[in-house]
Amino acid sequence: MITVENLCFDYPGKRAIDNVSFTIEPNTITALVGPNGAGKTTLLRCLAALELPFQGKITIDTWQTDHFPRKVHAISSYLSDFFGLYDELTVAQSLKFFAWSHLYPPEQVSGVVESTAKRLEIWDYQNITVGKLSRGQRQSLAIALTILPQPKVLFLDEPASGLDPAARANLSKLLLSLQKEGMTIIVSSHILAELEEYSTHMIMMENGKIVMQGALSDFQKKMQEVYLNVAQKKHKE
Amino acid sequence: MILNPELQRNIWKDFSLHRILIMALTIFLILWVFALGTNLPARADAAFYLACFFIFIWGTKNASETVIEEVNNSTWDFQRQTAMSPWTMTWGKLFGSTLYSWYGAFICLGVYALYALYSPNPTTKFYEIGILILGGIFTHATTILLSLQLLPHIRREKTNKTFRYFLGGITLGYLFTHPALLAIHGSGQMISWYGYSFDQSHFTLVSLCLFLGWAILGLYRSFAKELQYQNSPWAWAIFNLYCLIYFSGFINIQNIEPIKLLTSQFADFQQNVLNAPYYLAFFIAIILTYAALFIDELTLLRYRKLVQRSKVSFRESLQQLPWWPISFTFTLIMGLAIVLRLQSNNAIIINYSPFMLVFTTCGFLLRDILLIHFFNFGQHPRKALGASLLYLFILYTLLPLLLQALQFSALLPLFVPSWGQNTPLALFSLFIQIGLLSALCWRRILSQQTIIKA
Repeated sequence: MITVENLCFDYPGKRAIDNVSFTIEPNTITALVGPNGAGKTTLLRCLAALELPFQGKITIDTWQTDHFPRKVHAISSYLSDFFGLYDELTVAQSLKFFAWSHLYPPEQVSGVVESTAKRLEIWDYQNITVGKLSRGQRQSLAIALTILPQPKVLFLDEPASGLDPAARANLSKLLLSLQKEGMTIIVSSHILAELEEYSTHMIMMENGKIVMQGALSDFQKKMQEVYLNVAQKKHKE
Repeated sequence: MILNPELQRNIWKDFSLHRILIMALTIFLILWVFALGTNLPARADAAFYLACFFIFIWGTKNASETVIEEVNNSTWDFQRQTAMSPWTMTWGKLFGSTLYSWYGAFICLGVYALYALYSPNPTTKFYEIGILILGGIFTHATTILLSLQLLPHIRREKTNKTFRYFLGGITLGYLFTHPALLAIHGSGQMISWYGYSFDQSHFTLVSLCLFLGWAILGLYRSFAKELQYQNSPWAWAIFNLYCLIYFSGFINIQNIEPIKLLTSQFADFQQNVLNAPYYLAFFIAIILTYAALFIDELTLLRYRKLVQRSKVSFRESLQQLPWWPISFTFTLIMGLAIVLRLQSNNAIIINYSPFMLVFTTCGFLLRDILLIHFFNFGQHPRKALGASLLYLFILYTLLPLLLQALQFSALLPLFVPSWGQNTPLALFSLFIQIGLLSALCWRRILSQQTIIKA
């Protein structure tokens, strides 16, 4: 579904992603973990074709991001950790605007708006202006806007930040249900614990490089080995 | 029925019942105040100037904020991922962001049209309304275009300042709309373009329409670039050519025919004037080079991408090609044309050498290109635009003024292009400055490569 080959991305005076390669299978939930500044957000933006790579190749469902970025936009959706919303619009208007922007046929717009809003439990606030929503409700609306075009691939950057435990649990349920529907999801976070609830695979990044990757079960074994090695070294010292 | 989604969003945002009513009421009250104690033409003028306020001040302000606000509020990436085409985005942003100010403007223009019916020359008044609308759309389009072109700077600076786009847009709007408005009142006056006579009012109107077309094409292409469509800079090349041809046509060569071959001085003078369209084209190409340097992205990263892409394919490398080499090439071509056409005999201006003028002008332009790149190649090129402008102001204004005040005018070729005076100093100074800046740029390139490799 997603193939990344020798990806490099630079900012002025800094290499944010350094020769990264990996493959993500369809219908999986991959957790992208690593400390702040590891390059997770840049990687997600490159995958979503919002930034074009300096070097290397990204292929999403047969489309190469630097040659067919609009095709990638059509099949994927990215939610930034610092997302913004149109505070002057109501919840329903926001969803309608996005449905029209994604060229839904007019007769389907109301249906898709209602079903998406109900799924994220924000239908009750349909006539409330977005500026008046709570942090959790705003996050739900942002996720609703991201999944509204029914993308094949979903990129979520720190989607759980600022959410209370109940909302986090709901997010886990939502991601698992989206996976069941056939979506491929990549979720970034620097909190490992919450990702274990729904991830099938993990990629760990540090200083723009991948330091570990694999299925969650393998990952946990590797992590245990790493911790054991560290503990043994400390014990010897 | 669904309009353009972006237009619809702006209607939701701006057109509440309260805002619709308050705008109409405010305009009605202002015009009523003016109607008391003034005559009919003064009342018409009040409606006209109020419309100008809504179009050029309020509308341009809204236009300058439309994309920047999206970037600052982090909604721009959402829009970039939608299926909206660059055309949908162009019309949606151009008319959506300014719709409320157009609403106010159309109320005023409606009142003005009513007054026009009772004026001695209603056709002129309706013509004025047409130019105001076209000029307004042109101003808004150039304002949004400027903000879009400078988006890479905005992302780097993380700034929400929009005044510079407002100022740039309104200045360009004034430069193109005001002559068109003036031309209406000089009805019957003719304008000469490449020796052909045209009615001034028709000519300015057609010019405004053509430049509006260019502004909208520029907007379309800038939105396409933001939406990650593949873009090579052919439109900029054709726009350069268009500007060179358009502006050079205003030098009327035929007016000097009667003085042909009177004396050697007049022959020289005539030769210079005959070359004037080339000088003008040369000057326009220089302006376009500076424009390209200031509105295009010039980071080291872009040049590295250019080199990287050129290894893959020529077509892909074109997408990373900055605009300034295109305009600079036109500058060199026009400079060469001047040099080849004219061999001065110094009859009018002592020591005047067209070759030296062209050579030193191109040399100083090259120095400025290096200077601007030096600031853009920095590790934190946030203030590159401001720093470049400040240094150019010092080099072209403060230092020459200082030399003149100290009565060292002979040293002026150190800082301004020379047309033949103190040639050795001019050449020496140019080589030193270009050499120094090339070395500084190269150092920055190497230092960034070292950081990235590390």
